[in-house]
Order: sequence, then C-alpha cells, then structure tokens
Amino acid sequence: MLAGNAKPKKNSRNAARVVDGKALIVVIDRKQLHTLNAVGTRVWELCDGRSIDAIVESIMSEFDVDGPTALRDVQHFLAELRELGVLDVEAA
Amino acid sequence: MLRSTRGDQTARIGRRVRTRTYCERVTFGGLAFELLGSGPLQHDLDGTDRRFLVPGADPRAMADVVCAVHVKPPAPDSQPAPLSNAIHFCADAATGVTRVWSRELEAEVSRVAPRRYAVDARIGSRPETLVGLLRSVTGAIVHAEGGLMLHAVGIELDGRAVLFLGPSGAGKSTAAVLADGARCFAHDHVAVVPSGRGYLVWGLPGGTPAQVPLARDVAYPLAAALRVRKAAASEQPRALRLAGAQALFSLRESVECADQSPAAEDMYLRASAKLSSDIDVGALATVLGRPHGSTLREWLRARMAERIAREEQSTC
Repeated sequence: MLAGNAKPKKNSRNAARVVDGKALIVVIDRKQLHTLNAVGTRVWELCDGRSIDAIVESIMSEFDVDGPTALRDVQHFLAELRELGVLDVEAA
Repeated sequence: MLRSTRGDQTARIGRRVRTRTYCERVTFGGLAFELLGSGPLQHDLDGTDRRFLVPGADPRAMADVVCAVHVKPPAPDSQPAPLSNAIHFCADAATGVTRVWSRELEAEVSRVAPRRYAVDARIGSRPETLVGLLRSVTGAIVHAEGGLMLHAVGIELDGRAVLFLGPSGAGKSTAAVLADGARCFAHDHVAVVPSGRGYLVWGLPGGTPAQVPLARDVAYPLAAALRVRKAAASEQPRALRLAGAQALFSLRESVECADQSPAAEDMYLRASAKLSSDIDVGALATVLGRPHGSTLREWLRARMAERIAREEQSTC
C-alpha cells in the first residue's frame, strides 16, 4: 500500500499521447506500449506532483464513486503503473 | 553493381594522376540520393534489393540527399562497438546533425535546406553495407520529415497502397497472398512519407529471397492500414474500422525505431497520431484459404463514402 502523501510522477523516459480521452504510453526502456481507459487516463494525468490523497479526492469529485472504493482502486492502479515503469513514486 | 555514370577513368598529366569522382543517382525509400564516392563503389546490390531502387531522381521523392561515401570501416574509437549489427541513431538538437552507426557503417546526416540533406558516410567493404547505409539514412530523414518507417507488408490494390500491420507471425504475408486482385510491393518494410495532401508508401528491401515484389512500381499513394489477426476457420474474413487510441496503437506498434530517446519517441507518436487521423485504419480478420480482396474493396469504399459525407457536412 502506497502512503497517502506519496507523490507519483510520470516517468520522464516515457512518451505519451492522449487520443479521445485514452492515453497511449510508450515505456521506452522496456519497449512496451500501454493504453489506459478514460478513468485510468485521468488518474495518470493527475500524477503531476500532487499526493495520492489529492488524486483520490479529485477522482471522487469527477466520478461517481465512494471514498473507500476510490482509494482502493487508485492505490491498486498506481502500484500497477509503477510496476510497469509508467510512474515513479516519490516517498513522502 | 553500382557503376558510375562517368566510368572509372584515370589520366596522367605529366606526373599527376587524376581520378574522377564516382556519382550515382538513385531514389530509395522516397529520397533522391546522389551517391558520391572518391573511388569505385565496389558494392553489389542483389536482384531483390535492386527492385526497390528507382534509377535517377524520381519526381515523387520527398527530399534530396547528397551522400559522400567512403569505403573504409568506421574509426574504432569513434563510437562504442555495437554488440550486434543493429543500427543506432542519435540526433543532436543543438547542431542539427543526426549520427547513425552500426558495426559496419557510420554517418552524419545534416539538414542543409528544406528537403535537402547532406550525408558524410563511412562504410565497410562488405557489399550489403551500402544498402544498410541507404536504409539507415532513409530512416533518419523520413522520421525527421514527419514520415514513418513501418514494419509492414504493402499491397497495391486498384492503384493505391494498403498496409498490413502486426508483429511477426500475425499473418501479414498471408493477408497479402489472400488479397486477390492485389499485388504485393513490399514484403517487410515500408517508408510512409507525407506527399501533398496525403502519403506515399515506398517499398523497402525485406522478406525472404523467394518473395519478390509483384507490383510494377515501388511506391503508391496510401489508402489504409489494417492490423491483421488470424481468425478461426469457421469465421468469415472481415474488416473493422479502428479509431482514436486503437488506431494510434496499431500504427505505433509497427514503427521501426532505432532512436530510443524520449524526443524520438515523441516524434514517432506524433507522426503516428497524425497518420491515424489522416488515413483509414482498421483491423482485418483473415481466414486461411479464404480470399478477402472483395472484403477489402468493400471496406475501402465504405470508408471513402464516410469521408465524403463528413467533408460535405463540414462545408454545409
């Protein structure tokens, strides 16, 4: 579980493009392409230096989801993106 | 054998010996090359490679390239020795020079004017290094000019190019064989270059020695690109339209990218996004033994009708 005040940031070694609300991300060092759905794209866009808690709050305000579900899903998604090399997570 | 248009002549004047410079003009991958050598270019292009060369400067060429070729191996300490013969690129934004290198060639590519490039190259003595040089320089320039080098099979259908995309084993070559009424002009690699309001696709060497291009020309205007997958024998061949991120993904997946810097990757994504919005991109389900030429034609006609309808709506 990532700390709520940890700050995920986009990996500078990647390239990305958002088309029709969906992000296509190229993880250059692993030669992998990933596409994110609309919600995943929004979470990824919010990884601009704000904390995980702030990201969860934004998601709750933009989507119809309760707090515990948003927190669980965002945590899980960010951990997955970190595993894939899409994000770096700075410790609090 | 590439031969000079002027011949190999030496003349003695007193005690001086003059040797003429070798010069050959060919169009390859959408670029009009002027190859200049200080001595005979003893490099042979085999029959398959020669099919992808157009003698002289083709008027459809996207850019002119003056390429000075020195036949000697690259200096041993000028670059780290690559482990394989893969081609590497490094673009220097400050100087505008792109360095290209592999185990057997080294070149500096400079843009000297709009659509005009100069190349200084050193290649090894093996015959295939000249084609390697042409391909690597083409890659650097095509990408810089907003085009794309794709791993794809190209067929000519009713005078236009249709590209089959997908990783190795996806069924691209089979899709080409099953496209009845079409002729294959590229078996493995193509250069897609902006041309006027659309794109031209130039076939590049590749494929097995048994596969030779069947089309008469080496370049065609691009109509569509289709990501190929193999369907079950019980299914029918069909084509579906892809849009947005799916279309972009299908193209980017097939880009041949020797420069793996974030700046280059951004360039590939940008070009792929533009291409995906400018042409029809689809997915093609192929069934072994079932020709799909008519399926393709029908799909292309439907896309054309949609395009015309959209244009008419936007002008109203």
